[in-house]
Amino acid sequence: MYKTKQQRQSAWYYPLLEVIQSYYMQFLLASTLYVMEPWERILVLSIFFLIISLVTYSAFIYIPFHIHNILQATTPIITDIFKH
Amino acid sequence: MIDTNVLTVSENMKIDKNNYKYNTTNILNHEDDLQCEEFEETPLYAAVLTYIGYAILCLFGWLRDFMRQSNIEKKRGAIDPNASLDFVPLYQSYESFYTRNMYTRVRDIFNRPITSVPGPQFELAERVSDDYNWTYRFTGKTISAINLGSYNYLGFAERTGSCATDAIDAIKSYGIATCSTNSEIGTQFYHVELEQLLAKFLGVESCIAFGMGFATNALNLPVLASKGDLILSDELNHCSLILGIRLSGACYQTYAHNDINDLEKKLRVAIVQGHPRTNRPWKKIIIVVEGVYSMEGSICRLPQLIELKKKYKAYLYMDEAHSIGAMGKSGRGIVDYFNLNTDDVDILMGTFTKSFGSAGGYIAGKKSLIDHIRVNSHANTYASSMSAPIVQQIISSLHVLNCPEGKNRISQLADNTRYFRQKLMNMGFIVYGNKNSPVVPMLLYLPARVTRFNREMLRRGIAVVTVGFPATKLLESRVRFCISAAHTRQMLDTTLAAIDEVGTELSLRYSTRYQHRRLKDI
Repeated sequence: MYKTKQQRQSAWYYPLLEVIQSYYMQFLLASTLYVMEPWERILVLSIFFLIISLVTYSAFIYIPFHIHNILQATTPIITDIFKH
Repeated sequence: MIDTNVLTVSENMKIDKNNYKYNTTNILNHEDDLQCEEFEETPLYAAVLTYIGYAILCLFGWLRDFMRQSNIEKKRGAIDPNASLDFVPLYQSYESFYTRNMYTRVRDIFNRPITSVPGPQFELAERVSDDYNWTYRFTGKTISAINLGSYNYLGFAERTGSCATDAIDAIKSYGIATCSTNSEIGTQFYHVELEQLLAKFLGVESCIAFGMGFATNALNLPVLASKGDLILSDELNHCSLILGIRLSGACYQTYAHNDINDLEKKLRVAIVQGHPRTNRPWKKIIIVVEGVYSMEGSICRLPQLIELKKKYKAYLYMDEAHSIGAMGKSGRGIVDYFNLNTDDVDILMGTFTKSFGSAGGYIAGKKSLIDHIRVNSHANTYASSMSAPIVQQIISSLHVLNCPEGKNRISQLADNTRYFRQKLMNMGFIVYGNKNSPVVPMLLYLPARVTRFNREMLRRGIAVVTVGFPATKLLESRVRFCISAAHTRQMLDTTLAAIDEVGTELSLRYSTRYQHRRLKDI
């Protein structure tokens, strides 16, 4: 069924799409990617997302282990106190 | 730092919705209202983003150059044909790197061909590029746009009207080429009429006209100065003045822009110490300034300069290219603007390209000076004399300027200038320069925003001139609006609405001295 423009604009995701588009344009302008060709934009964005994903992955894997280590080293264990 | 002056102006003390008090001191450099100039500082985040932007462009430039060098990508720019034959390379400087990798990406905003007379509204040829601005093709359509780039200050760029009719009659009576130089057989009576009319208009003893404005500066400064003289020129002088100063063979020093204290210091040191090596006294000292600086919109400090030159017995050369016709109550330039005596400025130079709608330049001053130039100048003895319709256009426009219609044009220009500048500043944009100068530079800083601004304004039917790195400093890319007397209030309102909209989308409101407001709130 063909929706009129009025109906299409009142669908809930169009204002969100506009907001995302304006933020994307601001990002392109501030980082000078606006003047680059499409493949250059894809290159920069993929490097950027690669770095972000590497950091996130490392965070997921290593942060629980480190927190466990720190907690283990700093909180006193009840059995140790009873022994001494 | 809030000055006590601000308390008397209630508008400047408004607090915006975030309860942030804007620092709204209007820096008045002089008690005069005539010299009220503002050059707001670059905000830190804009400077950082601009440097980052140029760094990213540089990185990509190296990447693309590497790809071109290793034949992954085709070389499209100018190629050195003998690169392998051990010759000195033709293109090695940073300038060609800049042209290949930064200028070409955004080349479609510069050098647009126009297809009508450059009046207040004109037609642009629409051109499209399929390969990212390396080549263009014309679609055949024209875009009608409001013209804010032409130096059409008094609106004489028109196809119809008394000036155009007179110029056409001049072609019919005198032809187009004079086929000779001024000193041989090329001086016609209309050249003499032009020089006499212009001398009477400016209020000087005598005047001489040349065919090209740039050449007037470049070829006549060597006549006036030579080895053994000192020239003190403002740091933001035009290329033609710099070329003339270098060609003359005189020693030259630059002083900080419009800074009278710096100039005085340099004058004193020069007079006391003389030549750099021999310490002999200078034969003469010439101070070279411009009336209105076209990239800054600032006006030279003529009263203080005249006082200085009388005190230290130097000569003053003023280039009124952008200010003749546009400044002053009767359009007679900066001398008229400050109500001073024309005898105080030794050499007045100007061009006919901007306010008179023609081409060429002139030098005006005492009769002895002009006679000396007439005999000794290369531009007079070797250049072909000015063509008849061009001279007639200037003569007609001078006649118009003496009538009430001309007075209307001058006051309309002043009105338009003040209105446009005031609105722009009230909206929160950074605008440089004196509030009465018809050249309005608005700062944009980031290279990507400069490109987007230009393209968005053209999409809305307004053609502007944006300037970036080599013409201005690296950080201070700007858009320069040239207001004309032919712009109607409605055109200016359309422009302001478009700037307001584009300025909001691109967040171009950098000012910390004025509140950021939308146009509908002013």
